Parts: sequence; C-alpha cells; structure tokens
Amino acid sequence: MKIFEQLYRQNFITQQQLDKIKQQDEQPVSVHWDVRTLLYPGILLVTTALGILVYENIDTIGHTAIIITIGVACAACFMYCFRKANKYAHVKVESPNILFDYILLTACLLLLTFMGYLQYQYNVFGARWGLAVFIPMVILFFCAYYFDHIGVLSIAITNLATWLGITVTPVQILKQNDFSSDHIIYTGIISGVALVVFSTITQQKNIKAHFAFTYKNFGANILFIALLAAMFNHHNIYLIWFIAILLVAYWLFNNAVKENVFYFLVISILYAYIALCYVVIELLILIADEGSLYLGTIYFIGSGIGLIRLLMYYNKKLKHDAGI
Amino acid sequence: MMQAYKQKDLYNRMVQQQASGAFEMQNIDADTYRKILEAHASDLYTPNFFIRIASGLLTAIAVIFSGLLLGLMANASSEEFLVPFVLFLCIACYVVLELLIKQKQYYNAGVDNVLMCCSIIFLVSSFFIEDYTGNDIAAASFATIFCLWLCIRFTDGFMALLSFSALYILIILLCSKAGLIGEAIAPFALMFISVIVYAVATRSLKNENLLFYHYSCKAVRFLTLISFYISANYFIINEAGKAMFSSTTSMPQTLSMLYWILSVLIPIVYIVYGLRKRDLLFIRIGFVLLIATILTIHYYHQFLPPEINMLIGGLSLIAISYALTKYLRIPKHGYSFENTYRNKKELMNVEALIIAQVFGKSNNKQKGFEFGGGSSGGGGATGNY
Repeated sequence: MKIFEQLYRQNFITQQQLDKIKQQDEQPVSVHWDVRTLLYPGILLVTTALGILVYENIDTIGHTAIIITIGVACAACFMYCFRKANKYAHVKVESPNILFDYILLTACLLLLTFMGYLQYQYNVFGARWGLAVFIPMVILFFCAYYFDHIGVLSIAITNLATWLGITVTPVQILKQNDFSSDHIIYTGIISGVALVVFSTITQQKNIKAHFAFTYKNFGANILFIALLAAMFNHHNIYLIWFIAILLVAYWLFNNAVKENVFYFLVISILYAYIALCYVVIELLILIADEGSLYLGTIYFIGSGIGLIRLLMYYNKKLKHDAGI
Repeated sequence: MMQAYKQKDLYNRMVQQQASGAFEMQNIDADTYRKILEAHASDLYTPNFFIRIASGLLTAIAVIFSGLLLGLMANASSEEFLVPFVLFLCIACYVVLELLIKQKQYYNAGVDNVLMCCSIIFLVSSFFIEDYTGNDIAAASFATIFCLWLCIRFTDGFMALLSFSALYILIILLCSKAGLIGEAIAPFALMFISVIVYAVATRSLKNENLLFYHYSCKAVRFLTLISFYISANYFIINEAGKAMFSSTTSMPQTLSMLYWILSVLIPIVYIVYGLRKRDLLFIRIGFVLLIATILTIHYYHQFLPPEINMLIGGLSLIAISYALTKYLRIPKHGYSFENTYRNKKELMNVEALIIAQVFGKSNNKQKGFEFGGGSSGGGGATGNY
C-alpha cells in the first residue's frame, strides 16, 4: 500500500486509481482454484475407493455386472459431454463449465478401464492385443480434438506409445522400458521424430495450435532418451549417435530461440550436455592415467560454468515476449 | 546497509511487481503501467524459470567438481584435515556468491540459490565429520544463525524458512538432551517458539522499514502455522516420543487428552479465523491440517474400513466443491467463485509487450556493455555474440 501511496505522491497514478487499488482489498476473494483443487482429490478418492470395493467383492458382484456398470457410467459421462460441448473449431474452444473438464476426463479414464476389462476378462480382441489399445487411442484422440482437452491429449499420446510398445509416463519412462533392446530404441526414435514433426504441422496448419507444445514435449523427450539409450548401447559406433543427438539438439535449440520458448532451449542444451559428458568420459577412460582424473574434474567445472553463461546470455536474448 | 543489493534496485523491483499486480487486476491502465516501469528500472537479474533450474543444476555440478578437484590437489583424506577443508569450501561458496552478486546482481537466478544452499550444506557437514558430544546442537545453532544472516543479506525467503527450521530442530535437540523433563516440555517449547516467531513475523509485516523482508516474513508465518500444529499433533508427539526419547512410559492421561483436543481444535480455529478475516492462507492451511487430524484419528481408531472412509471423504469433497460453485455463483460474504485470473494470459501478452518496449533500449545497452567488458570471464557467452 505504501508503495502506491508513494507512486501517487510522485504523480504516477491518479487519486482515482489509488482509490481503486485500495478498494481491491474489499473485493470478494476468489476461491476458484481452491474449489477446483478440492474437486480433484475428491474424484481420485471416490474412484480409488470404488476400485477397491469392486476388487474385494468381485465374487459376489460378478464380472458382467461390473462391466455393464462401468460401460453405463462411461456412456453417461460421454453423453453429458456431447450435450454440453461447444461447437468444434480449429482454434482453442473454451470448455462450457468447470465440471465439464472433469467429467470428460472421468469418461476417458473409464473408457480405458472398460476396454482393458473387456480384453482381460473376455478376451474380446483375442490375440490381437494391439487392437485393445488402438481403439481407445483413436477415441481418445478424437475426444481431445473434439472437446479441446489437453489432458485427454496427453493420455492419448501415452496410449499411442503403449500401442507402439513403449511406456512414456514421466515417472516410468526410465523404469519400465528395457532400453537395451534395439526394438524399443528405434520405436522411440521414430515416434519421437513423428511427434515433433506433427507438432510443427499442427502449428503450421493452425489446427488446435495450442496442442503443439504437448506433442513436441512428448516427442522431444522420447527422442532424446531413445537417442541417448542408443549411444550407451551401441558402444562401438557411439560417436555417430552423439552427432545425431547434437543435430537434433541444434535444430530444437534454433527453433526454441526463434519461437522464444525457454523450455525447449533448456532441455536441448541439457540433453546435449549429457551426451557430451558421456563422450568426454569415454575419451578420458581411453587415456586412463592420473592426469585424466584432473582433466575430468576441470572439464566438469569449466563446462558447468560455461553453460551457465550460455544460458544467461540466451535468457537476455529471449527475454522480450517470453512464453514458457 | 545489510543487503547485498542496492536499496534502489530492491525497491524498484517491488514497485514493478506491485504495478504488475495492479495492472493485472485492471486497476491501472497500460499507459500508467508503462510509465511506472520506465521510471523504476531495476538491475536485479532474475532469469526465466527453466533457465533458473538448469543454472542451479549446473552450479551444483560445478561446486561438486570444484570441491573434488581441490580435494585431489590438497590430498584431503585424513580426518583432521577434512574439517578445515569443508569449512574452506563453505567460505569459498559464500565468497563466490558475494562476488557474483556484486558483479551481476543475480537475484533468485538459480546460481545464487544453489551457492547459498551449498554453503550451508558444507557448514553443517563440517560438524558431522567427527563424532563428539553436542555436535548436532552446535550444527543446528550455527545453521540457524548462518541461514538468518543469508536471509538478511540476500533478502531470501527460503533462507528464512531454513533458519526457522534449524531453530525448531535445535529446540528438539536441546529437549532430547534434558531427559524426562525435556520430553515433557518439548511440545510446549516448540509451540511456544512457533507462537513467538509468528508474532515477530506478523509485527515485521507491519513495519514499512522491513519492506524487502515482507516476503520472507510471510513465508515464515506460513511455516509457523504448520509447526505449531505439528508440535501439538498427537500422532507426531507419540511417535516422535518413541523414536527420539526412546521412552517406554506411556503418556499421562491428561496430557494425551490435551494433545487430542489441540489436534482437533487447531485446524478448526485456523479455518474459522481465516473465514472471518477472509485470509485464504489460514483457510487453506486449516483445511490441509484438518485432513492430517482425520488421518491421525484414523490411525488410532478405525471406526470404518479405509475404503469406506475414502469413499465418504471423496464424496464429501465433491459435494463441498459442487455446493460452493453453486453457492458462490453470485459473490456472498466477501467470497466469489469468479476466476479473477481468467484474463491472465491476454494480460501477460500485453504486459510482455510493454516490458519489451520499456526495457528494450536499456537491455541493448546492457548487452553492449557486457560485450565490451565481458572479456573478464571469456566464457562461451561472448563467443556466441
């Protein structure tokens, strides 16, 4: 308050503006985000509790009843969404109300449970496991676009990766995947490239351009991790993979500078740095005497400080109209 | 002055932040906002969020390997050499921090935050290299003072939090050394210190001379509200008593009743107070602590199976939030459901444009200056220019 009074005395703001600022404290306090935050654990608790209840009483309820219940609940949620949804447009469409987002999310999660249950209990898709993932994936992508929901889009991309045979949820990306298998590495590289390319197309064609970040985020991370895995595994030709990482990082970096996106600037530098550290350590192991230990520590100190300077420099360069 | 930064820079930065807030709430128009920004340029340097994280990580790498290199060169392996060596690293981090801030005015830039933390870590670990009686107490007291100094010098809220936490731990340690009496008075001593620090922080918030520390005071106030509850929570006292004091005697009936009453009462008092004063901080903390109390009760008395509890809890949460959205559609009792930040993104774009306009020129100047004088470091940055 004192600051604004000072500004008023210095004639930066008018009496009217000062009064308005003073009145701000008497305005109603918004509890918008508090209520939203309550809703989320509420839904999480109820669904978890229901899951446990069903699991414990599976003998008395019977699978058919459960599947029908899940199916009906899912259909009801989707019905609500189709009724309430605003008309589809290529640009960003605001959701009609707060509950809508949550109900859509519930519908999509129920859909996944429903499909998984069908396959697990009744083997509907037989040995074609892929189909059990592919069909919900298509529906999820459709929902993400039709209802304009980034959360659903993330689930859809995760499902796409599952369909391709890799796990991409942030926590499990390193734990669950056996990155020593060539199959997973190449799938990762291809899907990563595809997602990044698709993100650029999304932006250029201006179809839900605000989805581009999500695509690119998944794509870039999968691609870099797969490339790093390739470098660690194919030890005899690791320099080739190193060059590949540098090229991808360079492209992403330039793109980030052009579009003023700090996030991709930082991750491209960090992934390239990890790769560089690996190569330097490999080279130092080749020398393998006491001097290499000193060289290694000096390298880490110097590269760390150098990169900080680089980051600070680009921060100044990008500071104007900064996005994420 | 005590601060490492120029008073003018700190003040102008506060003006900028306040003006941003006022502009966001549409209390001042774009032109006024631009004029205020123009007149209140601050040299404090806070980069983008992601840059801060990355710089922090890289600083940690640089510090670790610098320590390693120095250790290699000095051949630090014997125990008596290790203590002065770690203390030297602590001082080195602090000196580098001071120099960097003097030169570049880093303010929450990631680099300065990590250097502060490293300095504290080295200081504290120097007490634990050798095992002697009272080393933990000495570590906690030095940490309290050092963190407080860092908070004062660099107007850093996180350091204020660390300082209070160290003080809290210090009191626990002192009580644990005092045997049975210590165990008995520990919860009250901790509650007492929480109240005292809360009162000091609240008073400081009213003191306009401490304007630059208002953020730190708010942070500490937040922590004291939680620590007061933790000090009185039945579960914590019971379990911590078992672990810290290795006591086999159970709590007297009257005391345990008192702790139960406090566990239930504190969250409710917070919520009621928050509702009356329209202070969301109290309401939010009260709500979270209420959940902690429910979990505490559930831990000792299971009235219903957990999944039923979860179901009831979840349904009531959904019911409460749904009722609130309906009830507050029209603002009532000074609360509203309207999302005041709805236009934040559009406003941010305008804001960014204004900032670019205002600081565009001075920024170029700065860059030119750095280009000229940047030879001192000679790092990668100048090469890329």
